[in-house]
Formats: sequence, structure tokens, C-alpha cells
Amino acid sequence: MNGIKWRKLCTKTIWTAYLAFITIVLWMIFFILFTHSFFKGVTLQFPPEGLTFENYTQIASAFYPALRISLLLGVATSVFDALLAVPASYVLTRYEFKGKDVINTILLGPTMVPAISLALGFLALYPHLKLMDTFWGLLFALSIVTMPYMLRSVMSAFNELDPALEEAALTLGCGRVKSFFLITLPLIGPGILAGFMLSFIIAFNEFTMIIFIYGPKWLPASVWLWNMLHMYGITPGFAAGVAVMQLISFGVLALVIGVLGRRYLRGVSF
Amino acid sequence: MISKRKRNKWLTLMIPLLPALVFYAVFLVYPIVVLIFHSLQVGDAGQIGLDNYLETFAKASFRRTLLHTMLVAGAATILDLFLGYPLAYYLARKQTWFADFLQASLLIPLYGGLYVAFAFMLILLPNGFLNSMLLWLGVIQQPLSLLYTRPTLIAAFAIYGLPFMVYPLRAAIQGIDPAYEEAARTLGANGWNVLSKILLPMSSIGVIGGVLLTFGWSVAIFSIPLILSFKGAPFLSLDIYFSTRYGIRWSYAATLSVILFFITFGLSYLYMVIIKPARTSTS
Repeated sequence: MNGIKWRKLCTKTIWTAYLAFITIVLWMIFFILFTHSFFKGVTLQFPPEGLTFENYTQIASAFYPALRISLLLGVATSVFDALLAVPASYVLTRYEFKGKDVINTILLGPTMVPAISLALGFLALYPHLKLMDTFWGLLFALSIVTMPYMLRSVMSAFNELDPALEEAALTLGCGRVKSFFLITLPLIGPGILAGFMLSFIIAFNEFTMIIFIYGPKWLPASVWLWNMLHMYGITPGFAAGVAVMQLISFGVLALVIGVLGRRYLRGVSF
Repeated sequence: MISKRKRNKWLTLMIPLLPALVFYAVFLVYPIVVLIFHSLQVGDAGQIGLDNYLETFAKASFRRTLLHTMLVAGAATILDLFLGYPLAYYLARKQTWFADFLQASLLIPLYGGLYVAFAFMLILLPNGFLNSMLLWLGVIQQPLSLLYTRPTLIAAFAIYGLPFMVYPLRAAIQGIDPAYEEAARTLGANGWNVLSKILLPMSSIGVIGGVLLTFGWSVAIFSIPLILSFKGAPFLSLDIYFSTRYGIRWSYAATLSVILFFITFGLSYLYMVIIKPARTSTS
């Protein structure tokens, strides 16, 4: 009996240690950058000479325009994704028709194409479309990368919705369009919000797609930070910039999960 | 008459799909087609041929880059399989707040490949966190130069690839009825037997999927090698980027991109379109 007890304790300890290790590895990415952003001095040595908030105020004036562009692009990309994904998901989950599997596969296509290849394709394409260094150019590039996450979130919301609710509205004399806006849309709202969150976070932090097609007029924060690293090396101001990006991402993540509950993370599945 | 009505219905269904399909045609299919066209173009006269590919594969430097990229990605994939399997099991079986927290945390490497590289840089700098701690503890006398080494690259790749391993595995393990495990345990099987005789065979689809996706994505990562790579550690994605910097060498960059595209697309397609639907429909 004692042996079994001891063994159970052992298993539990190993599990706890393992889970702690995974948690530390995943969160270290944030905490290291966050703590270093308060370090005093020009170089980031550990232990620091002192702690200060100055790093944030120092980069604020230069970083803010880039951050604003990233925020704008993140929101605009999610809205654009939702506008295309909601009608498409509705048809794909409600009806059976010829070619449905093919369309489904095509719509998940961006998760099968490496960003670096697609980015080079955009570099070849954009000068001809006059989309280089424009808002719409960046928006389209970010949208194609984030669209599958929006689609999967919305489609899983549609799949869970009982079609009977809609049929009841139709039987009671509600038109198709009206029933969509009054019944269906509010019920899949949480799915759209979850897709919104994923699209926003990925678009906000995207780097590979942007570095090929950005310009001086539309310079998003991720590329701004890379340029700063490239020019000045690793500095506390740089760490502060990254920390701001991460805090915004976590804020959105925590807010949406807090509002919706945990089951809405299903947009990320492969 | 019936076929006409059927066709009309089909056309009506296409209307909501049309904006998305047009968008995909212009911004997903077209760029790839343009790249493939560039990679097949020979000379300025507009001839078409496989010369660029033959030329690229004939170069020793390219073969070394390809091999190195695949070795680092492969090592990271194997590391991810061992790191990710218990995590996937935990996420599939436990419904605690901590499981939800971990699942949300897995999004961090998914969107932040760039930040993974930054964090590694800060930790491993000669006067950074790890070296200072080790010096202070007296484990080492001289700072270790860990930053630009291959194990660091593999570790960073592994953190980036972890979600691509865990999500397919979790889905596969969720599909296994816990009753099988309980029955085996009641009949006296130990943990190792449950894992090797029940869990692994029944989640093999997830293992295959995880390995294919993780490898396919790791091969093409750009942000991590851009920051953590060093002389003697060439990567295909870096070659693509740097051949666009100072006067674009289109045929070379396009050829590399198409090769990378076919590796990632082939492996993902194999799992998502061929293996996964076939297996889930028969079981």
C-alpha cells in the first residue's frame, strides 16, 4: 500500500515539474522582455544598475506612430476578415453542394503556405497593383494570413447553432435576411468575437509578411522594433517597445477569454 | 428543368462565397502563381524551363543550406514531440482553469516568433540573465557564449513549433475514450503500458499530424533565424530575404520560395486534406 502511495506522489511531482517547466518556457518570452524594459543604463546587463520608467517615456514619441498603425491595421484586418468570413461560413456550414470540400480546403489554404513564400509573392505583385507602402496593401496581406483563424472560429460557432432556431423564425413569417440579423448573428456573436481576437493579435504582431512590403509611410510597430534593433542593438528602450506590444496582445486575449469563457479558443486547431 | 433549378441554387449559394473566393484568388493564388512563373523563367526572352531549379540544386551552398535548415527543423520537431505529448494529454483530459490558462499561453509562440528570438537574445547575452546567474552561483568562472549556437537555434525553433505539435495531438487524444485507459489500469497495466499499448497507437494520427505540421512550419520560419542565426548556420528563408535586399535576384529568390512552398504545403496538405479526413471518417 505504501509503495502505491509513494508512486502516486512521484507521478504527481513529475507532472507538476513538467507543467511548471512548460509554463515558465512559454511565459519567459514575456517576462524577460518586460523586466528588462525597466532597466537603467544603455546596455541591458543583468543585474541592472537600477530600475526606471524612463525607457517608456523615451521611446514614446518615436514609437507611438508605429504602434498606432499596428493597432489600426489589427482592427481593420479583423473587421475585413469578419465581413468576408461570416457569409462564407454560413453557406459552408448550412448547405451541401458540389465543390464544397474544395472550397473548404482553399479557404484554409493560408495555413498551408509559408509566410516567407507568400511575402515574396506579394513583393512581386504589389508594385504592379500600386499597393506598396499603402494601408490597403498591408491590410490585404495581413488579412490573407489571419482569415483561416476567423473562418474556423465562425464556422465552429455556426456548427453549434441549432438550425431549428432559424427555421422557427422563418416559419413565423420572418424574412431570410431579417432572421439572419435578428436570430443568427447575435447567437454566433461570441464566435465572431473570438475570431476577432485571434485575427487582431496575429495581425498586430505579424512580421514576416510586412517586412517585404512596408515603407516609410506605413511602418507598423513590429518592423519598427526590428529596425531599432538593427540600428542600435539591444537596448532598454527596445525592450520597452516589445513589452508594450505584448501587454496589448495579452490585454486583448484576457479580455476576450474573460468575456467569452475558455471554449472559444477553438479557432486555433489544425 | 431540374438541373436548371439545381444550377440556380448552386449559383445562389456561391454569392456569399464570392467575396472571399475573389480575395483568395487575387491575394493567395495569384502571388504563388507569379512566384512559380518567376522561378520557371529562363533568361530575359521569356522562355520557360526548369533551368533555375537545376542550377540551384547544382550549387553546393544551396544543398548545404537546405540540409542545415532541415536538420534544425527536424531536431526541433523531435524535441517538440517529447515536450508536447504530455502537454497535449493534459489539455485533452483536464478541464481545470490551469489547463485553460496553458492553452491560452500556447498562443504566445504562435503570434510571437519574433519575441521568442528577442527573449533568447536577452537571456543568453554574455552579460545577460543566465550568465549572470551562473556566475553569481559560482557554477562557471567565465561567461558562456551561448547566444549564437546551434542548440539555441533548435530550442527557439522548438518553442515556436510547440503549438503546431500540441493542437493536432490534443485533438487526437480527445478522440480516445478514457474508458480504454481506465480498463487497462484496472486490469493491472502500468503507466508505460498504457502509453505504449493504448495512447500512442490510438493517437498515431495526431503524432503524424504534429510531426508533419511542426516540421513543415519550422522549415520556413523567418523571424527566428533572422535574429538568432550566425555565420555557418544558413537558412532558406534568410537566403530569400537577403536576395531581395540589394537589387532583387528574382529567379533565385522565387526558386527558393517555391521549394519552401512545396515542402510546407505538401506536408500540411498531406495531413489536413488526405490523412486527417480519411482517418476520422473511418474510425
